[in-house]
Amino acid sequence: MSDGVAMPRDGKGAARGRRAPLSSLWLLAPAAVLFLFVFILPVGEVALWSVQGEAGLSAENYEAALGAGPYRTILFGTLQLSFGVACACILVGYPAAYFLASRPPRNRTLLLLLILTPLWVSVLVRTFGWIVVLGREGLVNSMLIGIGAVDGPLQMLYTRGAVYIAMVQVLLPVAILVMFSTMTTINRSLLMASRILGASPWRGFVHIFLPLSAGGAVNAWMLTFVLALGFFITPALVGGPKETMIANLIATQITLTLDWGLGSALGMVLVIAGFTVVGAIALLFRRATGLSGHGGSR
Amino acid sequence: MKRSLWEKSGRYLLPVYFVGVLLYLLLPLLLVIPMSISETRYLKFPPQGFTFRWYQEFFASAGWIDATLRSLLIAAASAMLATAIGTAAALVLSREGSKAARVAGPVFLGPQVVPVIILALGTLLVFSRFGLYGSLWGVVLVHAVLALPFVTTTVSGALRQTGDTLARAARVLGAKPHEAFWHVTLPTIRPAVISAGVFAFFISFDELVIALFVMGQNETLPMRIWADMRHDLTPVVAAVATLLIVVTFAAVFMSDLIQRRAKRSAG
Repeated sequence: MSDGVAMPRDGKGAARGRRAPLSSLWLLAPAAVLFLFVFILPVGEVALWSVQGEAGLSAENYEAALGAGPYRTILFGTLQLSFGVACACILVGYPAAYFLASRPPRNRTLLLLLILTPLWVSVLVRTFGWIVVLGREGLVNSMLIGIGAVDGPLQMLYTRGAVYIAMVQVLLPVAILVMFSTMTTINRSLLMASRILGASPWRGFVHIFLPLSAGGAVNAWMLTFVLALGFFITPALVGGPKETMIANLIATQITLTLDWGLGSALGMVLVIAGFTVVGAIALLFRRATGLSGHGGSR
Repeated sequence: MKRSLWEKSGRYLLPVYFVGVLLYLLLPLLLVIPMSISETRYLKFPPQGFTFRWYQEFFASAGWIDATLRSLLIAAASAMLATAIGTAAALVLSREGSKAARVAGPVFLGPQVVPVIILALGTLLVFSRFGLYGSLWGVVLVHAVLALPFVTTTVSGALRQTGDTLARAARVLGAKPHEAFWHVTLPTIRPAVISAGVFAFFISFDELVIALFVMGQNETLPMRIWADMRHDLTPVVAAVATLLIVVTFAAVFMSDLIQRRAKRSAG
């Protein structure tokens, strides 16, 4: 019986044997079935609708979505806003993640929990919070009027700035979490070694910590960018008509104008644009780090 | 060695900055709470007077209560479904070096990357084809798919950490696979399974876009909040938001407590 303990880890031989591993493949089946029918099928349906014309296959929906006009403007606006939001998340989140990662593990847990708790509060509630803060008689306006900085309430809601502030707040915990988990894998004794060899802490940070944590920052950027692309609730509630995002446009197409084909094409464009940008960034980053690695070996 | 400016500023600047980030993340949430007891009909900060009227309005309104109960039912059902099948899948996905894990792992993350609006639209198209429009159980299935990536990553993380040595030992000693799972594997990963379930519950309970597209007249709580925020923005929303914030914070801290206690008793 002792041979059972030394079973190969991949369990290939064991799968056929009497002591099959606890994790046989059929355990994947329920998840796979659900995934197939409730994820692949609907997304496939969107792809199908997007290329359906009056008679058979047609690109007319894509022409309407991408041709000059309001849809293209909204598409570029969405890409631009998401780009900015993702960059802001990285810039704001990096020092916070750095601080978290440099805490001793004992007090790290509570701080991390405080950062992550907003993530589990409904986006509707988080957006409502910004209405309370930025509204005509909200916190900021009351304070500004109270100290006499302005005469009347400032228009802060329904502006691009409000969308930025609220979207970054919604996505920031995600960015911090991704960067933090990369930073905790960095071997701190490398920094110690650089200090011993006479480098200043700043030099150590720039030449050792920053490059090693850059991968996490890029991953965080890509994730927040893709998530921002699909935003629907926040721009609809705190943005003006100019901040309409693709997701809001799709919702209008579906519920008001009932143009399912155009809505589907807009959806596909959103997915394709998202993956293209993320793919390009990943490629650029790989090339950049490849080059720097090459430079380092000289 | 002389301390440089970088080091000194790092000592004070970073903690101050971090507190700033925390305020940015938490303050808008905490400010919602006083708004729920303010007497004014419109949102005014600072709050005026003190009243529980908006809470009473919430609990007295059939519309709000129905929506809440419907959301609770959907969230409970989809959390159970997602946790059960996600845990089963995690048993396979956590097995390092297996082909199935390598292929299926990233694929299951799909719902995290594809914007929900696409899935919502697709769900509408499929549901209207199969006459599932407005169906509670249809939404349960979609919410379960949304939660699946969270469950599989949480549970396979725990499985990788504990390893399967004990389960193998149980098998060697003659336990059947399901016995080894119930008596050996599950107890060791229970905290992860519980927190995965809690998160799956919240993912469904908060979900708006899919419900908006396919639920029709069967309003869920987020749909009701959404409608209120878009049209009248009553203080009842502040009361509901406060309840949601309190419940969410309690659940997250409790789930963390369970995990930490398990870690302590294990170590």
